[in-house]
Amino acid sequence: MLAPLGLVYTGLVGAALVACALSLWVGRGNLADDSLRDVLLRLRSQRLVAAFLAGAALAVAGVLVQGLFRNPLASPSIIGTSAGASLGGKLALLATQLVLSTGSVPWLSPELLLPAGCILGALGALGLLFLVTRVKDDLVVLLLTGFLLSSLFISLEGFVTSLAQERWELSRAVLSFALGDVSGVGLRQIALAVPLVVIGTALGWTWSAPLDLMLTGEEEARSLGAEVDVLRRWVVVWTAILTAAAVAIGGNVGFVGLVVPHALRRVVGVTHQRLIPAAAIGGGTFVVLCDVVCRVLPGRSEVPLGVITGLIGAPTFLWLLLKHRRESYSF
Amino acid sequence: MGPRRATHWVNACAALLAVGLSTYAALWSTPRALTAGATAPGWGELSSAIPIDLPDGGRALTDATGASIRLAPYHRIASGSLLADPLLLSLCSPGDIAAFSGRAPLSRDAYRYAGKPSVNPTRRVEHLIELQPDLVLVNSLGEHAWVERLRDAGLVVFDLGPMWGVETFLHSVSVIGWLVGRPEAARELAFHFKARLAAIARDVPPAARRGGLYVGIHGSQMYGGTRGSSFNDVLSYAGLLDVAAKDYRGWPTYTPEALLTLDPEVIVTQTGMASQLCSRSELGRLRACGARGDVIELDPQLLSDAGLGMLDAAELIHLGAYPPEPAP
Repeated sequence: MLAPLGLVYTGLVGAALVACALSLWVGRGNLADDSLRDVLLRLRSQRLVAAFLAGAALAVAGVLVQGLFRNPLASPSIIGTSAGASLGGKLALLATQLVLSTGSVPWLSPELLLPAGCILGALGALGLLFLVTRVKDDLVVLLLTGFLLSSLFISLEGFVTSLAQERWELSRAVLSFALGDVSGVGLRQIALAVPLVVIGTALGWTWSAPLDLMLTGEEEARSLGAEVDVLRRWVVVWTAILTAAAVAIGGNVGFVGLVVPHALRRVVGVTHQRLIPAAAIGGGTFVVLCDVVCRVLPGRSEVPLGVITGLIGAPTFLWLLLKHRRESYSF
Repeated sequence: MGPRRATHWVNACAALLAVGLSTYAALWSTPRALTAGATAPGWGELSSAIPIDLPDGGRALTDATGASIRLAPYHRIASGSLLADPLLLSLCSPGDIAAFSGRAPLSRDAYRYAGKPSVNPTRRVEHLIELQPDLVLVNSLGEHAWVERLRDAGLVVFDLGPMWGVETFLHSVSVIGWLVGRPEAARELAFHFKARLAAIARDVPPAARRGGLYVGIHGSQMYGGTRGSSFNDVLSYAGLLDVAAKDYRGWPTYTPEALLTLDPEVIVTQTGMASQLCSRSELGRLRACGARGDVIELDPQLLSDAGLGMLDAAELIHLGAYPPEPAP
């Protein structure tokens, strides 16, 4: 039974506020130190915004892709753009360190090299996906092409990672990116991701009605007036843009696009008009809380964010599956 | 315009707007240019390797894997270690060197290794075997399986072990001296290396030492090198107090918050990174980025050199942190 929508949104916003407060409160630095308080809060607020944006983008991308494929077990990485973004980011790191030998390019802030590489990588992957699916445009071909591109990019990523071993710190940077992290995100990276996440979420939301029709099946949706090919194309574009933004800002943060929509669908329902905003708030809150956990776990360095989202996300997802084992895994 | 076409237009424009705004944000600000602006640790005895006697009257040295490697006249020595490369050049006849490490042609002084093949013992085992070396020098970082694989392939391998700074380097100098049959030359090299290191910050009294920190920047990640690493030794011999040594070990990852908490007077980083570090609004308030601080940029290869390069690095950092008084 679904909870009243107002109650659900109130709960989600409340949880988000609590997560934000925790994120500002918890950290290595001492907020009681007057000389440091302002700057510590500024740093934590940037980190909070970065985590929220990454989580929101991944969760909304998860909703879109699950609606498109009519499968609640689909993840945003299924179309290959996450792997493309990840490869692009690693290539950017590697190229600037090993090829240019400077770690920077004159017209771009060095901290934006990796995000810019991620976005270019995701757009490249999207271009390849469309190039291949132009020949035969249906969901199965899209799914298989996405899977194959993903495998290809992951192999290339492995190659790039092996090249990065030539330099100790470069290999650490590549590994850290692969494990997901928002601790070093600054204003420039946030500024780069905000338009992608905000516009991506808003335009993704405009596809709510056709996605709802898709739940009845592709043929039925077509007969009810949905333009399935147009829907497919643009949902893939917005999923790619959202995942690119998430990878650019947080690296490889897993399970968010899978767990959050799956959990929220049980309380919000399957209607995309309700689910997408809820996923944005829920996904952001989830990643912010995971980032807080990264900071409080003991250790000389913080535990990578991607490790925490995986450690929390995988058992949660399993629990959700077992809890609803009597239901079929469909909408 | 039909609804289908309008949908395409709206989405395409929105996509372009999103990417365009992101690009604008990316190019919104370029980092501003930044003007970058002792008593040595106690000596103790030189770290030296001591050969053990074998039952057949020969002598051997024990390597990092615990294997005993016989001291013999080796005439085809292959180096799989960037650290051993310059030591071989200094200590043995060029004719006795079969190959340098795979990273030698990429090093700062690559010209010194010209004319010899380079090998990568972890990835290009077959190439190494083809060269038929009678001794292979490597540095493993505690993972010895690949060293055993080389031995299984019939090679005599001496594992110099991890390189953690001056002491491990001096031990390697001694080991290589014994292995190439020139222990006295190695002792002399080690002595001069230590003496020059000690002399760098001799004139800086302990109370006048500035707090320093190594920060390596890669993308948005910031890495350190402190107690237990060569970076700590380099900072100390340059006359700085490593401010991270109290709370960290090895090669920590720093968050901006951790960096602000440490707040050193002097930061040592790679070439070109001072502007990135100090142009971030919240890090701009670091003492090192202020008028009375210094951000010293060094060649990244020199900074990460845990061998002879530590001397050059310490000298350059000392010059940056304690610039000589201008002549009257």
